[in-house]
Amino acid sequence: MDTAALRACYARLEAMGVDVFTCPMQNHKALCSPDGALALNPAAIESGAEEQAILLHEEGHFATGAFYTVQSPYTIRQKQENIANRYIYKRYFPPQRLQSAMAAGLREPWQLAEYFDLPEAMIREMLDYYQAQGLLELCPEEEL
Amino acid sequence: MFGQRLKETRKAHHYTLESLAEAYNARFAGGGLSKGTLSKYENEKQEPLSSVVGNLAELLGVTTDYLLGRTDHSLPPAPDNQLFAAYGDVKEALDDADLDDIALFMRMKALRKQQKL
Repeated sequence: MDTAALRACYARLEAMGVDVFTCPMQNHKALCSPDGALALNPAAIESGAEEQAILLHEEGHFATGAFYTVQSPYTIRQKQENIANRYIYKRYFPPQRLQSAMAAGLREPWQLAEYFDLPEAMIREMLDYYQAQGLLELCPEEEL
Repeated sequence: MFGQRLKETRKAHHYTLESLAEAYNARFAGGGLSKGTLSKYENEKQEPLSSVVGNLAELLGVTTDYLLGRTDHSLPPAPDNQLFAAYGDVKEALDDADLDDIALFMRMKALRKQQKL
């Protein structure tokens, strides 16, 4: 795990005025709110890669102001989550960066996940999004 | 049920009978609550006044309904208009555990803000 990358995530949140604290939640790995609070559940976070993914994702919420309430319908909650995710994809993992890694031989999602210290699921979502947007071109034999 | 809930909640907050009585009397003017009285409450030997139940609930950060055994949710629900975001797959509907997590998060956040003032 690249601890420097993890430290950088925490430093950016601190610079944004976010108070990061631990919270023993039952169903959640993290919750955040627009007044600058981020609760992490260390017992549920499985790896440094997942911790980094969570911090990046929540940074996306703070940067974009994409939040919802307990009364928000599913579609609104999903839309706000997508906004946070896509902000982070484009800011830290633009298509060119992924394309370069793939050109260097990292063709499988798990390889990219290891290279970027992220969960494989996040890499797959990123690739799906960029491909759907036509921002990332893969040769047929490189289809992931 | 009240006695059992009071004892569980007191212990969860690491209060002894004595330290809870002290915290109560420091917080509420004219409290006059002794550890002996608290012990009687916990052992169902004496019923508290409704004002005392309310004060104990406030001090212990739970709802009066929880202390009285009317609900299993110890925290008041998060306000419907409170904005938040959760990491992970978006569920079609939030369940009780989700709502408890959100309420706990809101409460911890508020306590941290109070401590910083």
